[in-house]
Amino acid sequence: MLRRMLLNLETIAVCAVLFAFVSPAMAQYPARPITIIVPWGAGGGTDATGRIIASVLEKELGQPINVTNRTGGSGVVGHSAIASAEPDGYTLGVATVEIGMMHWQGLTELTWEDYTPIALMNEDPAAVQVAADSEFETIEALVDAIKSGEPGAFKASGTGQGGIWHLAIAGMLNDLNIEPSKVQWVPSEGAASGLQDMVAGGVEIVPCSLPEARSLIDAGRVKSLAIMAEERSELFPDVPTLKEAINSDWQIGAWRGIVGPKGMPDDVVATLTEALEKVYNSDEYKQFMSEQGYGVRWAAGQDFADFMDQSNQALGETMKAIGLAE
Amino acid sequence: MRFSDRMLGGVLIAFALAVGIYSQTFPDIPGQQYGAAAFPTAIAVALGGCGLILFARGLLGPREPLITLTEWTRVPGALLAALVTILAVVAYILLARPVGFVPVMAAILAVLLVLLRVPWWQTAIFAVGTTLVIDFVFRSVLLVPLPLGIMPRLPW
Amino acid sequence: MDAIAAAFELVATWQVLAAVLSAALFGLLVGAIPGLTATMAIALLVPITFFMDPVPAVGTMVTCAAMAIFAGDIPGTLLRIPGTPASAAYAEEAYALTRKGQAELALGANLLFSAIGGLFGTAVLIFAAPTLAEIALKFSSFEYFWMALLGLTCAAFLSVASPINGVISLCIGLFVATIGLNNPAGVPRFTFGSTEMLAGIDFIPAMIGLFAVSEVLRNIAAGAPRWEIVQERVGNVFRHWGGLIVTYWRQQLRGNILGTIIGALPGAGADIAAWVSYAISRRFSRTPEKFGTGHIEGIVESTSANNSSLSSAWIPALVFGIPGDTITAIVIGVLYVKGLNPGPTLFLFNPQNIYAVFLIFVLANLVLIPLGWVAIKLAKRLLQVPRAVLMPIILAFCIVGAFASTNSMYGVIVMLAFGVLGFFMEENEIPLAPCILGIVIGPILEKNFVTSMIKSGGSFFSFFERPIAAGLGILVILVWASLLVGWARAWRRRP
Repeated sequence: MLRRMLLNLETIAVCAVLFAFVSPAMAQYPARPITIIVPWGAGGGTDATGRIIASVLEKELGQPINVTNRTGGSGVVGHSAIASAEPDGYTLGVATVEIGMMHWQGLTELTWEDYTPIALMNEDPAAVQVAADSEFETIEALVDAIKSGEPGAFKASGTGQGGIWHLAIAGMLNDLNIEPSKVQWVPSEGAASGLQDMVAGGVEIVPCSLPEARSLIDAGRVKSLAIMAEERSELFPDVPTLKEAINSDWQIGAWRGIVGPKGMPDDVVATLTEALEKVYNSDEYKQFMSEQGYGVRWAAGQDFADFMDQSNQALGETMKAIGLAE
Repeated sequence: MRFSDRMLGGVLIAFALAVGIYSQTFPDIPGQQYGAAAFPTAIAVALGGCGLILFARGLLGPREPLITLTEWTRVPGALLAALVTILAVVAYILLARPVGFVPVMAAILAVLLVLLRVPWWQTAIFAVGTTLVIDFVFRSVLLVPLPLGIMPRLPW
Repeated sequence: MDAIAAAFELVATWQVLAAVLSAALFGLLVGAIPGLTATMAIALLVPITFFMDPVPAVGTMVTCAAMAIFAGDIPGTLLRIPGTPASAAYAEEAYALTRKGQAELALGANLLFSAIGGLFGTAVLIFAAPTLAEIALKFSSFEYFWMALLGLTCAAFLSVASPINGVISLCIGLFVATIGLNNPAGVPRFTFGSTEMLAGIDFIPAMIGLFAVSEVLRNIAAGAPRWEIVQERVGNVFRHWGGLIVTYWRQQLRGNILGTIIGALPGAGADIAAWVSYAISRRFSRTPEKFGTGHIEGIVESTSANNSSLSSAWIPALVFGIPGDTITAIVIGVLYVKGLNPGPTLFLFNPQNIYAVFLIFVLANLVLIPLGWVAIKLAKRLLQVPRAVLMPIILAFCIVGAFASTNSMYGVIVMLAFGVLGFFMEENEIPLAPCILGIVIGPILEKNFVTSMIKSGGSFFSFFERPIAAGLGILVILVWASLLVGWARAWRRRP
């Protein structure tokens, strides 16, 4: 009986505390915990990036930050969840390169213009990988062989049909005036399974990013022929850029940035931008990214918006050229 | 609720036809024989086959009513109880976001406990207690974003 | 030898032991709650490991995963609500044991054979990792296609009672797996314009619905009658365990070996290992008719398999940085951050680190036994709670578990839909297990079929061109031939 009474008392006490906590008027942003939506699953690069940003940002803002995975539909589900949240600064998200791809495929109406751009945090350029025992030692030799070969003689893999690495190789061929369908795309669940298939002899090329191929390159099973970026990567400085190797201007990469729903208040955006810039320059972030082998790239506000605009247009052109977009 | 072989067979055939026909609208992978439609079509064929076997078995066998009520449904209140449970989950789906996890979950727990004739004071303790424990474990330890609604975040 | 001594020093510190212990408790909690998977537990640990030394960081993840996979058996056995997908294969069987009053026997067996399975997988990891990783690397879509087909064949063994109802259930599962955008062609299927549906039907809420919600519905409809059975007390646990090992060492070994093989292959994990083992156990059992009525044999084999696959999933992860399952996918990221870059070099330079990781594996599986035993003793009291109180509370946990799996109400909707479906299926004596199997294996089968066809330009012969693929293909054909002959004989013997 006594225990029961105590329980009741406890309930009452809890309720009392509860009402005492009803939040007073909105104080300085942020006044309560923030949620960051990650459109990809736990264990992937976007998840890791989102979580490291969150853990450093937490210290900067002095509020807990929850990272929430909203996965599936090639990123559509998570990106929609970010766009449809309240634009009060308490729900942010990690936007990825796919935001400039999925609307061209007719999967969603969402474009980069449905978000408040805050800060670009990372970019990993695509690179061309072949198996270590492949006969091709240079990108030039590979491209020549593709050019003179039968359509479908070369197969590439590393992501789903119409994914970013599919666009990377198709766009490169298009840029070199080679019919993109000369390389048959074999859809895979991600770079890891594509690379494994290449080592097993299933496909010849995997045009994924260098950090994704890193462990197999280190293990001597895979070699990288060229990187589709302006500069060589810090991770593998021996891999030439496309420009150096075959004088092609084609560049493409997967990027990740922090965005919010459209229409966030300016002061909130300013606070977040400042905090994210500190995160970007922090030792923790820099160290984490370099140890994972991820590239870093910074752009905020209008620069980030321009970057997304440019990425969106380039991807759209490529997708139209290879028949993936209407 | 138990379907007779004829009924179940018929339902399966109709479902298989719908899946099979709808699948034909899926686009192909450019230049490939087997695309998005191949797998659903195969499943539809298999399901339709099962449906045909069941339907034939039903026609050949003794005549049964299309739907029979299984034993438990004849217990008074059984169907109602199942229906209330389903509606409770529907209520959660509709109300949790606007109202908040704590009040909605406590309410549906209370409804179900009363439905099962648990004494009112136990109902109150279990409904509130379970809700608070879940709120603490899921929101604070496991970082699941349970909907807050109009409720403030509890002090943990 | 110096390296091994150094490894012992790395592990035998308070920091490491405390980390292992708290990770075990955390894994126990997460694994026992339906809807929360071992993968999710590991993901939650990632930010914490940022602040740890390499060895305790890896230690927490290894322990947490092993504990979570075992803990998933607890609600599966007591309430027919598998805590993690890896427990789903034998949840019904274990629940049948509970209804016979033998919950403690079932859980004790789960615990013992989980720990042994984990140790077996660890032993293989220590002694044969490089060789096995080489073999795993040879698997291409052709081999995986045959493997998936073998997995589906298991459904035939899961529903001996009525093959046609089994096929219907399997087809429902396969159909469910086609919903969404996750298919080789990358086009939305059966989504009807819904953004949420693009993600497809998540396996976790579907499983909670089929097993747990349908059970809750049935119980509440019946007015939540009191438990009729008295649970047997198991006296001396260790003597009891001795008896199980003596009787079922063949099943255990077969489960261990199969689990290790499946775990080492990237793209198949503990859940598939458990299903396949359960089916094989039934196929080769002397008393297959006892399966499904509360028979410990299949549980022994599949629980041996799921924990050993957990350990062997680290083989391709450590040797080549290729994740063997979703858990190791997360851990690989942490390994890089901690400077333990996966690859052959891990075994050459600083071998004390890798030996320390192995020691942690052994430690984790040993810690499992006392902690798991306490957990079983505590959890068993659940059965003393009146069902009228328990059922609504279970439903509450199902709802939040389903919510947590997608972090949105969509998970709850899927759960409810499958709860009603599961209820209807059981009313019509359509077994649930093949449906779950279809949801798990469907995408693997389709993906590998379509990608193989793309690679071969539409030629079926390519499925037999590679040596391993040809071997697996012939195996599949033999299994099917024997099945058909068996059915034909049974048909002819009918009066």
